[in-house]
Amino acid sequence: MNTVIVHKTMAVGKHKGKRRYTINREKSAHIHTSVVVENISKATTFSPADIELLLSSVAEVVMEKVAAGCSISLGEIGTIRPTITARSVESRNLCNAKTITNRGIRLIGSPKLNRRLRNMPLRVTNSATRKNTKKEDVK
Amino acid sequence: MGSSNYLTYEVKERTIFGQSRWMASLRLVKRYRLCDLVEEVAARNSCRPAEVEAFMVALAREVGVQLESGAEVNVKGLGTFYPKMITQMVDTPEEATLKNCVKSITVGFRPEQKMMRAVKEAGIKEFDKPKQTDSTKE
Repeated sequence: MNTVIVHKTMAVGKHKGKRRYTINREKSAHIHTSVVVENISKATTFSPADIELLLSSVAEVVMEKVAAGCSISLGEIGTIRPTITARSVESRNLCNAKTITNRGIRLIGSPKLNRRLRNMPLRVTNSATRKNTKKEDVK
Repeated sequence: MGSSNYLTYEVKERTIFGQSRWMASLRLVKRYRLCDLVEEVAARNSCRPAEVEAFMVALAREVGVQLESGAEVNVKGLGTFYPKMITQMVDTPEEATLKNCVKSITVGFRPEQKMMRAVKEAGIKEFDKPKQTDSTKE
């Protein structure tokens, strides 16, 4: 995987005002579903139409279960589960559904996939630094 | 029209900056394993569970291969999987090496809008702890 060195001027914290550097993933190819369907079709005996049907069925089941508050395993990809973000309050009586500020969905990668990704070869493509442009950096 | 799906939360006490505070925490209703997913998909499509399992294995392998090459993979209905780097910052560009900055690589996920909407529109209710019954009789 190609990576680039980026820099950012810190706006808060003990390094406020200082320029700091890190490594980010470079913009990479975006593989669409059709390519995934084609590759699975080549590797198995399923036809592309069967694969699309199974895929939509899997997505439907995952969506139903996650919206019902369950976690669901996708095998070696990982586990998908719903999440909530809530404010903390001073007393038990004040804590109710209104303190929940956001809801989301999270994937926890399977240990096998995470291990494969950790062992993935990385390459820094530029020695010159590139600015990590974010709103706080633009004046 | 109300949603028939509910997210369940539990009120928990936590210590934040030395102070005791209360906050809502999601309580998972059930954990579905891969075999449960396979069974349900097979029942909906009138196909054999072994075929669905073979498909899930092939899908996981394909997603894994694409992620290993550094690409983002869009799976229709689910969302986009991408390799996510967990990094730390350093003071100089000379120190910005893979060894110093990259702490770990894992899989990131951006769910599709339809799935996000289903979760955001689901109802919410508090988890009721089962009351202890007093079994002593006079």
